Amino acid sequence: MLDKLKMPLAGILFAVVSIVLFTMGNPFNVGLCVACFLRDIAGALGLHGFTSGMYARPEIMGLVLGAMIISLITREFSSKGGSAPITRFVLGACVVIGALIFLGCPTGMMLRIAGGDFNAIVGLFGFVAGILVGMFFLNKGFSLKRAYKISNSDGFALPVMSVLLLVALIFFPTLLNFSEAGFASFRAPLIVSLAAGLIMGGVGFISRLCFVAGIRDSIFFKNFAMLSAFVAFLVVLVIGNIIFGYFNLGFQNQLIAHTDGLWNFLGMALVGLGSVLLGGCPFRQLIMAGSGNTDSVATVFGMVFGGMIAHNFALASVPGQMGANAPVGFAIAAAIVLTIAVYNTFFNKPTDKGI
Amino acid sequence: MITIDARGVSCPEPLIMLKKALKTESALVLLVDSKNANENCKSFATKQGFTVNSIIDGDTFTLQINKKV
Repeated sequence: MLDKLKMPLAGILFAVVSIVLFTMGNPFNVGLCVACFLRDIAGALGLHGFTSGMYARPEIMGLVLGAMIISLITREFSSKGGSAPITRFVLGACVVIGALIFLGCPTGMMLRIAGGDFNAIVGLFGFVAGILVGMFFLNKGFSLKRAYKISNSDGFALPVMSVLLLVALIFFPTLLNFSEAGFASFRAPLIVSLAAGLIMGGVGFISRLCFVAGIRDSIFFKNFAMLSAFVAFLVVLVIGNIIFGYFNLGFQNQLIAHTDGLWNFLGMALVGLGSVLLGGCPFRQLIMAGSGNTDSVATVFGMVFGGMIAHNFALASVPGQMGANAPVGFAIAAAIVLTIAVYNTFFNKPTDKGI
Repeated sequence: MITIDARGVSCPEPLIMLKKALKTESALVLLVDSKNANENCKSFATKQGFTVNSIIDGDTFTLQINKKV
């Protein structure tokens, strides 16, 4: 019984944590968006000059550390790596470019849908389309090959970096950049953000919540357990949004959004495709990175890098407006992702040694 | 009886390898190295009318999968 309720409970908890975050200061329709928050961390570290996107979001460090703590307790922490880390870095960057064209990763998209934003529903259609394209390649044999057990100094590197970033944020804030206006100036109290991250890191690890898996497993394996988490997540969030007066149905006047349907669709299609090839959505990548998977660490670094180039090269949208170079940036990122997909499906066959 | 080694590959590759193999095989051994893959593959094979016996040894889960008679 508890096993069957595990997924919906995880979804409900994620929704409650999101509501707490945006009622206490986070941007309301993207309470905990992994792509936006990694972009904010890139800004805090001085990697881009987008003044609205600079804050070392404690939620992200919390997710990594929460996943690490629970995986150590359950003895599932395992330092692994070697499954095409550089390819994953590149895919991670392209996923965030897509997400910042749309304005939200899959988590952010769900939060926007729950706020009544129809633009995010267009994004959801793109996301599903991207997943379908990715599954075509997986069914044809796409693989980034296997990972192996590696040194714990690799596996613990990201959790240690997360602790260092938290120390800098709490004790040496002058080392970091902070937005004074715009998106990243909306922030819940540090302790609330960190607690939210820790809780969701633990819950994410136990439940294996993944926005890609929710849709992928329903369509291809007729397994609806993960999808039930997202239905629960959406229902609770819609109720929360209505109660707190954030619910605003329609395409227009949405807080963190733009109304260009084509690019909302294409941006999320790129996220869906890239995430399926990576084996999980950005949220899941952070959880795996916290539990010792260094291929996911490479992906997370790629996502931070993606946030940097999306803003330095004017690919990212800002509320109400597309980035000037978004079409060119999208075309290049999509071409890279498709090349990786085609190469690792049709040309990079296993040798007789099986690798 | 064939053995499929799905250790170390990303989600959902073990499931895809299993799904393809179950179309032609009535008995097989599947190796995975994560609890997640173990649970997903076990539940999928069971739903497809197979019996699954999963043994853990160190990091490796060995799933013996046989068609129900």
